[in-house]
Amino acid sequence: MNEKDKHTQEWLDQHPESSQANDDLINQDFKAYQFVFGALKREPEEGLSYGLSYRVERLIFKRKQESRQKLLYALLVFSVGLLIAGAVVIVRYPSLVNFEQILPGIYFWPVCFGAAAIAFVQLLDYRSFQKKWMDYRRL
Amino acid sequence: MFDEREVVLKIQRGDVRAFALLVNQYERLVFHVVHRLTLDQTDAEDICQDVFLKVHSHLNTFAFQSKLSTWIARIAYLTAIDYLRKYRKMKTSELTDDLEHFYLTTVTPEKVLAEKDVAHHVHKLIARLPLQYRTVLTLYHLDEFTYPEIEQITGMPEGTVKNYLFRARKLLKESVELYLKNDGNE
Repeated sequence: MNEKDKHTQEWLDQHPESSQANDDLINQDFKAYQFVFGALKREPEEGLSYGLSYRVERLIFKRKQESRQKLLYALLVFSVGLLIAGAVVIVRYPSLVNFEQILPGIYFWPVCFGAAAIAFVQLLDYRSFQKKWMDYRRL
Repeated sequence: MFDEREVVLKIQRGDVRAFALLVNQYERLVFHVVHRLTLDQTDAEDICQDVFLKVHSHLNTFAFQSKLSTWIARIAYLTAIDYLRKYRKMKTSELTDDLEHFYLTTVTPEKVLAEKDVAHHVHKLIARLPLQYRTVLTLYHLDEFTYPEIEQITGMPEGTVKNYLFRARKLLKESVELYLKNDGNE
């Protein structure tokens, strides 16, 4: 019995569009299999509601925005921490007000420039990302 | 014409429109897999969304070692299984077989007689099949994956895939035979 089923299933796999089988296969069994194979090919009645790609993109944008915001907040917290630490040091050791004593001259300006450049790049990146998204939504 | 290599490279470069193209191309496939596993429209919609978010965040790791559709179908399959385990508290044993016992206890001739359309009847039967059988039937017939691709997607050995497919189709055939017989006697 299993061999016959196997044979019929294989035949239908190889001839998916066929409505007629070999003479020895035309029987109730084969007819039932034809119904099954036909039904299996049919799309389910339910489907996705419209606009999945839009919803997914919106979520991606939201996540990217959130992670950028987190990064900006982290930078902000770090800067505030640095400022507070600096203020404490200055209050406790007024003689150190001269920055060149804290940070040797050859590092002072590169460090300031580096920090400003990172903040500027972040800002530009954020704006271009926002612009790209708005342009896309207008299409 | 959808060129998966070109689309993937565009997405990796940050092209939002290319990703929309990918979602439109594969949303039916993802929905087939997820819906057949969860059997719930609302859950399926949420999971589909989740699947594409995962696809987007992991696309950088896709190395074209398989077809993109196979890779996406695997993510869909694993996400749906994960959901069932997490929110419906399904155990591993419930996610596998025991087909004969299941059939004898759930489908009665009265229920069969109530169905008016064979295809509709078959779809209802599929929904009652154990999860792994539903998955294999869907991937093979609806999404036209080959046995090795189904093996890649589900992680089941090819022999098991063939066996599940054979047993599920045989069971469905027996039920349809019964349906046709009863229909003819009316």
